[in-house]
Amino acid sequence: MRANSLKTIKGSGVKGSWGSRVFNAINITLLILLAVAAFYPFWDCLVVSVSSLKGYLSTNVHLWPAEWSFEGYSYMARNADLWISYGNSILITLVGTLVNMVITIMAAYTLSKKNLKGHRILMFLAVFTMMFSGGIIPTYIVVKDLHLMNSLWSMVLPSAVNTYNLIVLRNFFADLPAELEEAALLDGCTDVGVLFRVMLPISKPAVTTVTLFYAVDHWNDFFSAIMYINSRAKWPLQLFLRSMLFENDAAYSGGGESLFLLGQPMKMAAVMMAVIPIMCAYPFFQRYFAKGITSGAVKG
Amino acid sequence: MTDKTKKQQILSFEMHMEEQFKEGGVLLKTKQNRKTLPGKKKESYFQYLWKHKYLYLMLVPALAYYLVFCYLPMYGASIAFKDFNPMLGIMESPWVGFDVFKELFGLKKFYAVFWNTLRISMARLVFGFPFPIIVALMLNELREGRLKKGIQTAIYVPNFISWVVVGGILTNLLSMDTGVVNGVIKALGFAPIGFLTDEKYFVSTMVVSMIWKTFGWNTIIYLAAMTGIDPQLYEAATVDGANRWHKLLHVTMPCIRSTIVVVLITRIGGLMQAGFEQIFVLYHPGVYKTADIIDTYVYRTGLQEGKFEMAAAVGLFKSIINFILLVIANKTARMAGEEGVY
Amino acid sequence: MKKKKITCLFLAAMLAASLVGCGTKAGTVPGQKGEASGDNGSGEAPDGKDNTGSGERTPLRWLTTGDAAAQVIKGDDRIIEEINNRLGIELTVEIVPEGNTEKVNVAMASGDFPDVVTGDYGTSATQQWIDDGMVIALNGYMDANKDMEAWLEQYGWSAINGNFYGIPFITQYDAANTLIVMRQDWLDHLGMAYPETLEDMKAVLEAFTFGDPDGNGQDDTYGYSAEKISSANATPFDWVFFGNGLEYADYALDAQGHVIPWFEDPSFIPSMEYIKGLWDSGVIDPEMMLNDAPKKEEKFYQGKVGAIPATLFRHVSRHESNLRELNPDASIVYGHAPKGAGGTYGLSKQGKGGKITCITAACKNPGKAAEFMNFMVSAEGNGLLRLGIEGIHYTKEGEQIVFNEQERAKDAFSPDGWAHALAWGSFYWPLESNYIPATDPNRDRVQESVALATDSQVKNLVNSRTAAEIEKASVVDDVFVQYFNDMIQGKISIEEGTKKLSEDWRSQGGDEILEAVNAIYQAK
Repeated sequence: MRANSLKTIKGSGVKGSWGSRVFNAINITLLILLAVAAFYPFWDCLVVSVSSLKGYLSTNVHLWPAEWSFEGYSYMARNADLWISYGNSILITLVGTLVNMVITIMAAYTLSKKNLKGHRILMFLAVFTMMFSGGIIPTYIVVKDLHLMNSLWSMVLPSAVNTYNLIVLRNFFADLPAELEEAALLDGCTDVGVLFRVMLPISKPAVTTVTLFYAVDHWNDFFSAIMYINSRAKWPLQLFLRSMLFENDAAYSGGGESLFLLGQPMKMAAVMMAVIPIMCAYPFFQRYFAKGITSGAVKG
Repeated sequence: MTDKTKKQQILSFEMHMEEQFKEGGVLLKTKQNRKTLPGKKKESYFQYLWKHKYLYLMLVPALAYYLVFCYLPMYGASIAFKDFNPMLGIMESPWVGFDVFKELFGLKKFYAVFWNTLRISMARLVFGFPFPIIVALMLNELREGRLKKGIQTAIYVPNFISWVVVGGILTNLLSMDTGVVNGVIKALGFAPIGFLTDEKYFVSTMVVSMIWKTFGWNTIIYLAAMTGIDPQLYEAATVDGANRWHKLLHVTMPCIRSTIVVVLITRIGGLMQAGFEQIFVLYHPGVYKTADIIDTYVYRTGLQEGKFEMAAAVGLFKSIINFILLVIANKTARMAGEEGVY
Repeated sequence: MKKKKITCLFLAAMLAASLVGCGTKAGTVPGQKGEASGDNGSGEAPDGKDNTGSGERTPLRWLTTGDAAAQVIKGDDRIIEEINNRLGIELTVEIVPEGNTEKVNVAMASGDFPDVVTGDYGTSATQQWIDDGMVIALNGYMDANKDMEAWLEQYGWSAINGNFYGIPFITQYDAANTLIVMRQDWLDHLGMAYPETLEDMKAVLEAFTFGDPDGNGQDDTYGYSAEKISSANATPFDWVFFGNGLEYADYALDAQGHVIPWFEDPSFIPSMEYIKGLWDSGVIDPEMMLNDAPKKEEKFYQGKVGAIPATLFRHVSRHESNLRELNPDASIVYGHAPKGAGGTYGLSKQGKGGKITCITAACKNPGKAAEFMNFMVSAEGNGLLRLGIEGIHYTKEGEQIVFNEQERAKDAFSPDGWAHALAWGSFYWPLESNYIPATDPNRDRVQESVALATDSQVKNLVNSRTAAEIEKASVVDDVFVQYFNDMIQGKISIEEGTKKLSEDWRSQGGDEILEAVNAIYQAK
């Protein structure tokens, strides 16, 4: 039966009505236009980053380098601190995201149980923290009292759960069909077993999404490093790159005067060095967006 | 196929869907099909906890986090009502009642920037919220895998480029003399528009450019929700003769509805955040009248130089408004049969 | 059952991980190089226990924003070692990334006191340090530390009720580096000279705009551009006000000798009319309000504008070489700010803000801390931070000092004879000490630019920043900026705008500021 009907769908999909084809054409055109518009800022930065100063100054619209130069990249690559900060950022992102995910998955699963006593009040308490916070001073004191100062953990633990991500994941769990859990529970799985053996494998898109959100937050974080990290050897990449840009900008202010005014191409090279790794990571995440739950899994 | 039969088919499809809902079969988002936790009437609280010990245990790390990093520091909000003296600490500093708030509300520009904040936020919500959903739906209709992936990657990158950088690019693109956009406008025979210099256009420019930068990233969550949709639903719909539009309306939308609602509620609960970074990078005195928001104003008036009491008061004020909005939004969603965020 | 065990183990591991997170510090840090701070450098004030083998030395922790443009101080820095040896201290320097004062303010407000701290002078934060007793008065330590005393005497006005709470370091206090820079080749092409007067300036800017100065046959140039206005202290047109006779940088005096806001000076209205005239005639870059400093310079380099106020000093060569990227024959010219009918002129304002370095109330050995600060402002300290250690960082050949750049690079000295990172930002900047390396190819022009800019710098009437000013200045500043903009753009007439500006400025805190400033001025 199923196989039969599947064939029918595919058949009709391929044929496609005239209207459907027009729709497809318009849809693709619009999406490509949007993609071009959205991609432009990145492309502009990329082009500037590989342009010479002359090439950069010669035009305001950067579609292709008027004159190539990799000065910015080579300048930064010569700085050993760059590689240390890359290492730090990767470590923070990996460890941080792992901690985030473990805590968030467990909490989100429990909180997705609508019949569980207290789930609503707990959820409310979490949501409350999205609105209200004590501010930077008491947070600083907590980090200090936990002896996290100047430790990479200070960039991980104070942001161990992001409530928005918790809500998103809880929402996904709540939307999953219940039969699977029930079957697993009957098989003698504990709740924890159900979560990790049954629910997680079929929630890959959601888990991947939230992982991506967390990873990006860690990758982009610099503020907690400014606040809690003293030693340069523990700087994350963003802080290193920002300090390079900042050094550049400080030169313009009245007082401080930098010796290195390499201009826009070098700044953009710094921007690219932070963005490109994350761009490269995206297809990895994307793989899992494509793999949703299959009907087989649901029927289990 | 006549119109009539089409209609019938749609009808039958809708009934089919309803049935599925009723059956509590494969469908999502139904109250009936939740896993029922057997709750005997005369169970003691401890027994209940013990029965679900694993579930509660899994909450422990998150609870610890919220306790230590969110609720423990919460006392800091009291700075808004104090004459903060670091030598005494937050707790011991003397109370001053609502003095700081009086000062805040006494600022001549406060109401103007408050309304600007609300206006810009509302515009961002009304135009910026549906856009990623539409794009996600469009992407969902795309059958070509490689193209789809390419487009997805392209639209999500600007999210990673900071406003300082995007602001510079925008200034170039929208320049009245040399900008590409005004170039087109001039070629069409119109007068160039001061998108960033004229207060009439500035806010719209902010809203559109915010959408431009973030829509791709915001589609991710909807795309993930769509991936979770059971293909059988589409199959069933096709069998019933539904076309793409019907499927979008009756399969895709209902399945991502709860995600939409959650995102909407959290956005409403963030209405007092009107995009500080973006506006701060691009605004100037010529557009203060329409574009100056609470965050930019208090920043300009010395918040960054260590006025902790004022910072706390502003924060608290915004939090309370956000909170009220969120509670209303959540309540409304629940009344409409949605689950809401809590 | 097995599953249960696994679960329990997992949870335990999870909890343990978070606990371990609280306990370990350096465990996860890759390639830590042993910072200047030794092995922890955390917020704890070590009770002298953390250092081994130097029991008699006084640990001093100095938290500073430093300067983002300085070199990085490494763990084995020989200059810090030398200071430690000379003063018998164990110095830990924490330089906040990006010069982020918020970190310093938050650390102080959280009770995480270093021994010595550098913050922004004349801000709410440092005012609070003083008001709430978070930093101590230096008066008792001045007798023993003569260099510090001499420095403080120079900044006598910074005392509060006779007490000095820190060593101020005011940016652009008696040196300046900004002038209006123009395209010499454009002037040549138009047969004009660098403008001497406000009238000349107008003529030049008009010719830059309408006279096709680049000779490309297109109307694609503007006369003047600048950065967007961000505070009342620095408008893009300060030179107009000074040219029209404004006497002081910060305030003005009325006929009775009372301090009034500078925009109530008679020079204000004619100046605004002059500026509005320029704006209306279209010689000013209409997108000036979108410019940051790099964008402003970019427009100059691209040949879109012919004149910008720009920082010179060490930037002289940079401006010219960047300009020549696109226009190989271009050159720059700068000079005195244009004179008004009365012969007065001025461009930049004497600085009123900067840094202040204080000893905190938590400092266990304030005597040592004062000694350290004394060293930093002494000739001896200056020499060490500028030249380094003789025989290592430099050698003397007669009078000639020969730098060993290789050794200097190892110890956070900037190249070409520039000072050690420790000096930057808190006590010295190259401009303030008017230091130009002998190797600079443009040395004469650089020095000339500073001489001209300093000559065009206008002094303050009152140097100190009063508490009222710190509290209210930013709000009333904002009032000024709004009216200034509206008057230029014609949203309000100049007469009406000036009147309303005075009213608003005074009612929103200006009167309190004036009262305090008058009190100080009359006392002088």
